[in-house]
Amino acid sequence: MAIQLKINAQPRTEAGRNAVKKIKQAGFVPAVIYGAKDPARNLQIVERELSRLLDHATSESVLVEVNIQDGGTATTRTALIQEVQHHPVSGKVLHLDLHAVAMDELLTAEVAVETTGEAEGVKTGGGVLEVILRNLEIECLPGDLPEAITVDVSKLNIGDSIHVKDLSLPKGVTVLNDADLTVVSVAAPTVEEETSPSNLPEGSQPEATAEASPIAGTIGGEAS
Amino acid sequence: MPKRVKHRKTQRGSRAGTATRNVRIAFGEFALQTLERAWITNTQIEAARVALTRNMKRKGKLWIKIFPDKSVTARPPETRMGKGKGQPEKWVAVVRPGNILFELDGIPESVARESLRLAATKLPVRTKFLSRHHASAPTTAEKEAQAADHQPQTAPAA
Repeated sequence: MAIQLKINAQPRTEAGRNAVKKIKQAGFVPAVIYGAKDPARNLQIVERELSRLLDHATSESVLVEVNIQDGGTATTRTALIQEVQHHPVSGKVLHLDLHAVAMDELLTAEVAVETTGEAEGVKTGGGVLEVILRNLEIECLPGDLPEAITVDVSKLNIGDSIHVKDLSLPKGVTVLNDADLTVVSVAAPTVEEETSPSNLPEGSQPEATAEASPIAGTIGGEAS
Repeated sequence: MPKRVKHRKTQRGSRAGTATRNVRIAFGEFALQTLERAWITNTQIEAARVALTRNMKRKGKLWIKIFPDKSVTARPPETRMGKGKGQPEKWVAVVRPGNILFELDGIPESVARESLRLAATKLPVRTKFLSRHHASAPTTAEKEAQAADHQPQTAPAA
């Protein structure tokens, strides 16, 4: 079972681009909490605290205990981190979606696949371990939510693979993915021929042709 | 470059803003991300690919996440203006800050880092090395211990 992390949040009354910009400048991340038959609430979380929490989590799909401090009163809600929006370049957290859960209701979440050990085919045969399915969609009670699904790959030789149906899952967890999907496999080492300069595509002499359009023709072959 | 295209000549288009698609590592363990906007030509992509595979000693797995599907025309030298648009000269991929250029898997981080550094020297943009798991990523057992000790800090008043 995943360890429940704790985070503090404050209610946010302002919404919209300009208000959110000011909130971000003050060192907060805008967030929203919804679900569990309660009305949605806009929140703000201290950016440092959130970054620390996400750095220590295996995946971004973790269960957190949100402590909402509204003036003198504090309410605690259990929520799943539904989505984390990042800045494409800096990687900073832009927005956080929290999905409040009821502890007695089944939830669906994406959980990371973690491999342990070194595959036999990689160690001796020089193969490449390919993790094909990096996240599994699972259904379980919030209390049973695992932090990651661990797959032991130490017995895999070249050409071997582990499928969803072969996984040993924690108690109370059901996988929603197709049972025949491959999770990890060991591929044979690829022997690639050294590309000679003559094989390199030349920008000045493209071979591409365009026949779909009546005005199209061989590129570079038509004088204006 | 594409095998077939519907229209041989394209307008320049806009390269404004940051990337919104192809910004997260999708297949591999390590990646090279661009920090600038540019037109990367097919020859530059090929040069980077050769540099990568040579340093990887043809081990591991490589994904090229950009494709030069835009034609760029040029006028022949010493020609007068007018007489229509020039002929296609090269093929480019439009990249915006944040786009992932290459992804690697199946090799140690040190080799991936060096390979992507060599590949980056062939490209006309500043780049950043990305890893799916940051260097200090704890194991499951360590995480459990850390999470048990995790105490939230009190948030300052808004």
